[in-house]
Amino acid sequence: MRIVAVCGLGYGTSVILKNNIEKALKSIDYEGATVEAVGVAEARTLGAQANIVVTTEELVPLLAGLNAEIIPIRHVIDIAEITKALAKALL
Amino acid sequence: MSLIRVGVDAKDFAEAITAAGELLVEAGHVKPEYVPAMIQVVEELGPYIVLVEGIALAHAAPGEHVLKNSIALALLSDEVDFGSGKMVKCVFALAAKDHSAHIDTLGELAIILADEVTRTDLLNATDSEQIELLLGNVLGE
Repeated sequence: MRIVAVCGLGYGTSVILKNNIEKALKSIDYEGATVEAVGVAEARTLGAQANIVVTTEELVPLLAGLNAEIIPIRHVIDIAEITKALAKALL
Repeated sequence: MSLIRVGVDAKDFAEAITAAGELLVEAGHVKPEYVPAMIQVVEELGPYIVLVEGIALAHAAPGEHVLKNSIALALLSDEVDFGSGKMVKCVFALAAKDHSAHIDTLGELAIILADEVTRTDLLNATDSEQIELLLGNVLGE
């Protein structure tokens, strides 16, 4: 399972998102997933190999056309929101 | 050199980001060009840097305009719209020399900001000492 956290530049917001995705995965006891933080440009190529792309609502339109399941998050520091969304997608 | 300023007057997101960015410029942590680069990110990609209601993490791409890894904070007197009605009162300005800088600090910041009481205290702080107490060692280098 390859999960990609996407923000505008692959730095800052996506790093926080990646951190929280890892915490969320732990809390639902999901093992064997890799999580990377990337920017939109990188996501357009790398996203093709990802199973799940987690990003903020605003960036969803920029990722249209990817095969991965796209999970929009309203607030990247809201672990409860991220956990709920990942549980729905993975379990 | 303080990396915190409270009671900042800003009428839009560009002024808000500039206020936080200028703290980095004054401290000698970024070149002046870094500030418009941070504004451009929001103009091009929207308010995705708003981490949670009231709080934004402004930054541009790591690299050439950055002299020192650093984080500064401007607390506005009144919140401003960063786009799509996402209102912000507290603006962090993040400067990184490369992609791996600050990874631990950002994790720490995320943990601190995940706490609602801390966020409320931060948004209602009236002086920089209060903010220093809340954020521990996250600000600065």
